Amino acid sequence: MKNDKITVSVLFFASYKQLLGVSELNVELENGAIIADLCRKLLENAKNNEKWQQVFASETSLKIACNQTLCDPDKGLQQGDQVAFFPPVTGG
Amino acid sequence: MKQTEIHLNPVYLAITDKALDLAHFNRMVQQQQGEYGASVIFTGSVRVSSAEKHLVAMSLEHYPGMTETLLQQIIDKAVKRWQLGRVVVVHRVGYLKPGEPIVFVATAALHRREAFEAAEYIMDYLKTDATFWKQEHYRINGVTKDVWVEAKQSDQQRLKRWQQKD
Repeated sequence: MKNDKITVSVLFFASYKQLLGVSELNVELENGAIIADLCRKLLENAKNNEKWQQVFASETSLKIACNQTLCDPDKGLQQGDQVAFFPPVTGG
Repeated sequence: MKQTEIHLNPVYLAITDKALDLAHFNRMVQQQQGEYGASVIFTGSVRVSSAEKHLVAMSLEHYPGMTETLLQQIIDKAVKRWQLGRVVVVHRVGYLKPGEPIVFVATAALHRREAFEAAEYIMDYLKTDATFWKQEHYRINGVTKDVWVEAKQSDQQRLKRWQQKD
């Protein structure tokens, strides 16, 4: 039987991790979901939570990686993918 | 064991939560240099703060796995672009005090221009691409304040220099 759900792991780094108080969580999505769907679901789950809106509203500064490669919100997701959200980098 | 690795591989890349042993990394770049007589060594350290804003420490975190891949990609591009006898890139993570080294980038080349350019290229891309984040810890009138460092637009601007030449 074909599974119609996928589970992805989600990571937050730096100021996002601190703001949201979470570094890692698992999210169940419909098969065929893209990263924008994941963002929507995270926002729904955190209903009325300004902090989550703050992170996901910052379109210019929000960076996204899927399986450790930078990507856009329209990237399709597969079972077991690792999606990371983080602010612009400040190393060196 | 690490030293054996160096003889075989001209590239050394490390991310560590231990204090950087600069003398050790200097030797790595300058020993057995052969015909690669020009070496450039860059060290970036935590600033010792001015009086009004007293920086007591800095925390550095990164995305394990992704950071190493990104740094390796930057080094690979530098190695394609310039003939380099050695490249050493070491980045510190964890809790750092003012004056402690954060990053060490060194290149050895046949001539100084290549060594300077490659070191600068690696640092410029490390600043904009590598998944590290800094948080500064200040002490102001006896109260501790934690501030995430903001990315600088000027760092993005610097990349244009390399992109024009591509």
